[in-house]
Amino acid sequence: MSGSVFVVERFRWEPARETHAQRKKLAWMPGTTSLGCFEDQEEAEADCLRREQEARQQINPFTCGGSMHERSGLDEPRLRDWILDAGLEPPEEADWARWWDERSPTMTGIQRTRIWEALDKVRFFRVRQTNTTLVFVVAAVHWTYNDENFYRSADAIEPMRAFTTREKAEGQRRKLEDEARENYNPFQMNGLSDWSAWSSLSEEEGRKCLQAVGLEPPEPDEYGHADWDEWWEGTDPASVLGRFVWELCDKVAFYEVVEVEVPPDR
Amino acid sequence: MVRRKAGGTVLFLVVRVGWREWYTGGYEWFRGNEGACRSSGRPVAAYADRARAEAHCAELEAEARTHLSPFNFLEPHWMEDFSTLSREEFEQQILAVVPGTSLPSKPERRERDWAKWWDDLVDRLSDEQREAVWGLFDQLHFYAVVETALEEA
Repeated sequence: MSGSVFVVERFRWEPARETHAQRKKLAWMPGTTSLGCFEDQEEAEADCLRREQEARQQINPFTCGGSMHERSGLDEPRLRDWILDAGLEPPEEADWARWWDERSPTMTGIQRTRIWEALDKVRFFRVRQTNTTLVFVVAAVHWTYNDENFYRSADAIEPMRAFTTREKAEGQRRKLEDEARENYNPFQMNGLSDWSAWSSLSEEEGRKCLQAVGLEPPEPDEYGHADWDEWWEGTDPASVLGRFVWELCDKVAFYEVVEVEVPPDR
Repeated sequence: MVRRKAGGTVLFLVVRVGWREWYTGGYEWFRGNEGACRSSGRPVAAYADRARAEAHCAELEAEARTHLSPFNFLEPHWMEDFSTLSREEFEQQILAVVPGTSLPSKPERRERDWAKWWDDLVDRLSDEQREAVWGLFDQLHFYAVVETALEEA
């Protein structure tokens, strides 16, 4: 499939260290998440604007980024002038986040818009025009061992091979996934004791699924904690039941298929 | 020109390097179990031509640099992963690029708080000075180009 479409994307603002002196709460990180796809540019822009306005109702822009440089193309003296021009008195000291908390409820809509306009690096959504030619990349997930369990980060993957169809990529991923599962205990992945790290089903639903195929799940201890890690030991991962348990653990993957755009030739 | 290698056409992937927030603050580079950092990550675009992939990679890298503090990513213990300068050379260069500044204090058995130092300083620097500081991080990157094979249907 090919053609031009308009994708609404969300920028990656992630929670920042709480100890930061300037009350930074959100840190910009490289990358975006696609949220919606439109054939019509105006529709995409309208959707983007709606999302941006909703986000602005909730977020103090001065808690985004660790310095004014990370928020605006204007330096602080120019920003102060800009705010004066908007009919507002900027803060005497540099605690802009507190100033926003105190002053924004009494600002007019136009004044708030003017400030957001000046903070041109604090944006949460955008529209990107793209073609829809895709390839499907099978990538290996890199799990790191910390002497107790395995953990990963979202982008810690290594591309292995690209395919022109999703079906072929999924076939390859499935084969590799089955091979990898033979070497791991699913309950040592993503942390040791939190069912929600392993499965998108609730623990109760997971237990019922296991009982339905004749498996007796581990009894919870007095604190409600079941030792799934120990329960798995000795299970043949290639057996029907072993595979069934792995299927329940749908949040643990050793390979992913990533949809990747192929930009058109210029 | 499209290149071919055993098993399919060569494809150049622009990848977003994997980082994760470190529990003590800052970010940890995507490393192997032996500690070496990896120039790999999540693919965001694919090209048949390396030059176009490199150009897109450079655009994304430039965008990231306008938003980020390089010091949020620095782990002085792994200095060679971030700069070809030694720690001492790096500190001397910082003082040369930003005359009149002083380095963040060095508590005993702890690293300097570079991230806070930069956040307090960066608004007073010129674009040239900021670029010069980024230039000291000549091994730090957020995107990379990796080669893979495309198996066609």
